[in-house]
This record gives sequence, structure tokens and C-alpha cells, in this order.
Amino acid sequence: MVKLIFIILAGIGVIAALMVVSLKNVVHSAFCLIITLFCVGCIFVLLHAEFLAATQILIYVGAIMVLVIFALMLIDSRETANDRRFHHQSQWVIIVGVILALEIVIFIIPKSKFIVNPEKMIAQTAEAGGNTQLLARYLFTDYLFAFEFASLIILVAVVAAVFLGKRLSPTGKRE
Amino acid sequence: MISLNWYLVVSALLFCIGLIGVLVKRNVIMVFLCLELMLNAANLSLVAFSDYLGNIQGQIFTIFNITVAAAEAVVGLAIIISLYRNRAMTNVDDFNLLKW
Repeated sequence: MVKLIFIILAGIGVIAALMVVSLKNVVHSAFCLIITLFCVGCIFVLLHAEFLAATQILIYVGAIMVLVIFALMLIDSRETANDRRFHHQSQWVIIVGVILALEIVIFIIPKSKFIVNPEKMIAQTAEAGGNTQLLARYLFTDYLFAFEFASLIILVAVVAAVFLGKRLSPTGKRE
Repeated sequence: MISLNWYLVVSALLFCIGLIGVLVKRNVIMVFLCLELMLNAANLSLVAFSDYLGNIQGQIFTIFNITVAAAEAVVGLAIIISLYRNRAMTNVDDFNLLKW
């Protein structure tokens, strides 16, 4: 049953990802990317990462993709739908990319041996009282510095976005 | 029970599709969307390893990955809109302001 759900989710996700690359209209590609991100979020639930699944839906689908579609609406889409959508060397890129994908999927991953221990994560989660509690326990002890640094990165990003979003005056100074 | 390799296969496929998209597409927003796809493929393999190896650090790294992706989206889109407003172009091949 879980295997069937996984195959459906992975199939929809990969097909939507292929449509992101192949569709002509940028807005359609953005909506296909939303489908892919949603499927990846559902696969996170299968992997016992419920908090990350919620974060994926909230931040990627809810915030980043809304921002991208907002930017698409601000940019004139008639100019973006020009006839030469692909780079002139794209056939070589596609050949090399397909070879890379086949190499990873057929030769590298099936031959890799990982020492898996799926029960360990379930035991840890049960001991902490849930996935969110377990994440919080590590995030606010061992990774507290990285957590604070991430907030600094977001602050810098906000300041940069406000600065770059300002209109240039005719003298070249930012108003 | 699904084997770990299945998740890694899906992650590798998503990553390769994103990589092809980044290299092939000429519209700057499409390049941006494909970058998000690549970041998500990396997140998927991190979470899969985290669950199967019984180590929570993969999920912690994924949280930081999502944070950095959000910051990157904000700055990237601000740069794209600023470039479009000042030069009216969205094609990555036309962006040669920093070339000497």
C-alpha cells in the first residue's frame, strides 16, 4: 500500500518536473513546479518527516512559488515567450544530462550498499514524543548557532530585496 | 517497506531534470524554477537518508536548506525585477553587465 502511494507520488512528481522543463508558457511551468513540490512534500510524510512536509508546503508552495508568480505577473510575459526558448547547444546538454541520469539510476544507486536502520528513527521519535519535538531538541541545542545565523541570512536577504527593489533616479542614485 | 534506493532514484531524476533545465533554458525565471527543483531533489535525498540511517541531522540540514532557498528566492527575484525594469530583458544570454 505504501509502495503504491509512493509510486503514484513519485510518478506525478517526475512527470510534472519534466513538464516544468518542456512547457512553453512560464506560468504553466510554475504551476507544474508547484505540483512537483507538493508531491515531494507528500513523500516527506512517507519518510516520517511530518514537520518538514508542513514546512515544504508552507514555505515552498505557499511563499516561494507565490513570490515567483508575483514576479511573473510584473514581467511582461509576451516578451518572455520568444521563439528561441532553448540555448543553441541544448541538444548536447540533453544528451549529457540523460547519460548522467541513467548512470546514477542504473549503475550507481542499485550497486550502493547502505547500512539502513529504519527502526532507530521510529524509536527516537517515540522517545522524544514526536517528529517536531525531536527536531526542536536538536535545533535549539546542537544547532543553535546555525539557527541564529539563518535568521541573520534572512535579515540580509530582506535588506537586499528592499535595496534592489528601489527605483533608480535619473541621476543614477537610488531614491 | 520501500527500499532507500527508490527514494534516491526519484531524487536523482529530479536533480538531473533540474540540471538540464538550468543549462537549457534561456528565460531567467525558468532557470530560477529549475534551481528550486535541484534544491528540492537534494532535500529529498537528505530526508530519505535521515529516515533510513536513523539520524535526525538530515532533517535539520533540510530546514537550513529551505531557509537558504527562501533567502535566495527573495534576492534572486529582486535582481530579476530590477534588471527587467532598468534594461527590459529576461534572457540570460543578454546579461553581460559584469563582463569586461
